[in-house]
Amino acid sequence: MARKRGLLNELERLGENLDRLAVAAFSRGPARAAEEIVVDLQEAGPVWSGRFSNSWQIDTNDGRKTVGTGAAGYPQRLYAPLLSGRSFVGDDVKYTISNFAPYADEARDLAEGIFIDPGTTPLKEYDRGTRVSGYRGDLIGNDEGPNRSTAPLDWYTTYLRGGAIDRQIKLSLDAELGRVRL
Amino acid sequence: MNYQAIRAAVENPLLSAFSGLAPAVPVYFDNITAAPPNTTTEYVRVNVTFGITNEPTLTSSVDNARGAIVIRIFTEKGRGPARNQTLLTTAVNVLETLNDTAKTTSGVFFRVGEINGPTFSATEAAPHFVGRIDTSYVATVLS
Repeated sequence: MARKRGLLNELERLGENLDRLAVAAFSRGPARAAEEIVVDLQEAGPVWSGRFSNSWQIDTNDGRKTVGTGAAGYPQRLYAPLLSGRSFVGDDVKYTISNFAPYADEARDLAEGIFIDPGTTPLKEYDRGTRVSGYRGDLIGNDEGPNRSTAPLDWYTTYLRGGAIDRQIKLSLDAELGRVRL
Repeated sequence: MNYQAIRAAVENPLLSAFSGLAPAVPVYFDNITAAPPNTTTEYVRVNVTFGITNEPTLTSSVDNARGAIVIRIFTEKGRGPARNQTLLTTAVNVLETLNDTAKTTSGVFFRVGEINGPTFSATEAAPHFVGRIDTSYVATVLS
């Protein structure tokens, strides 16, 4: 009888651990990945006043979101909302990361813009040069140039399409799964 | 890892394609040549970036680079999108042809992913109408 109860306890514990594993794999893992992707984007992207870096937001597919402050200053970490049970249903996109700065496309080199040097010192190291086209990062490098850029041309496309985002997702999921002891 | 060979795998066919047009359209690559600032003539800008230099694959080779290709076509503003789209078609054809290249025992095996765009933009200040496409690539150095 005692042996049977012990076995039942073990099975119960295994069930709880499997629950933890499922939560780690399907909720904390993706949330952590979304947070780390935002950190990567903040590090890779331009930081002049810091408003663009603090304008990232993370949305879940069930309508919850974490929104950056949009304020000037050094980039602040965003914490992603955890997925709810019903948001696991279906194979749609679970998290969406976007930037709500009005000049987000220009900052990501996706569209041309008109750039005016505010005369302040950017929060991040910059390259100086002469802007060739209407794209933010399209500078011919020379130390005397009138334009400044705090991130290389196409930093966003490179992160998105060059494999770094996939690697970040894998690392974050692995890290969360690694915390679970069965 | 042979970065130059990877660049050449995509830059040479693009240069040949645009040079072969009548009239030829100048192509500017990363840190080789640069379009004169505020030029009004049409040109093509190609940026090849590296995201990951090596990653384990199913074979023993780790010379497997991933990155992005961004192509911007600058044409005259105020004349409609036709010319821009013609040049974009040339670029897209080159990228698609890269995926038809057979794998050999040496050189670079190059594959591009889905092509995003084109997106178009024009600002008051800039003299051009710009069409932009981008894609990912995976390049394996075989020798």
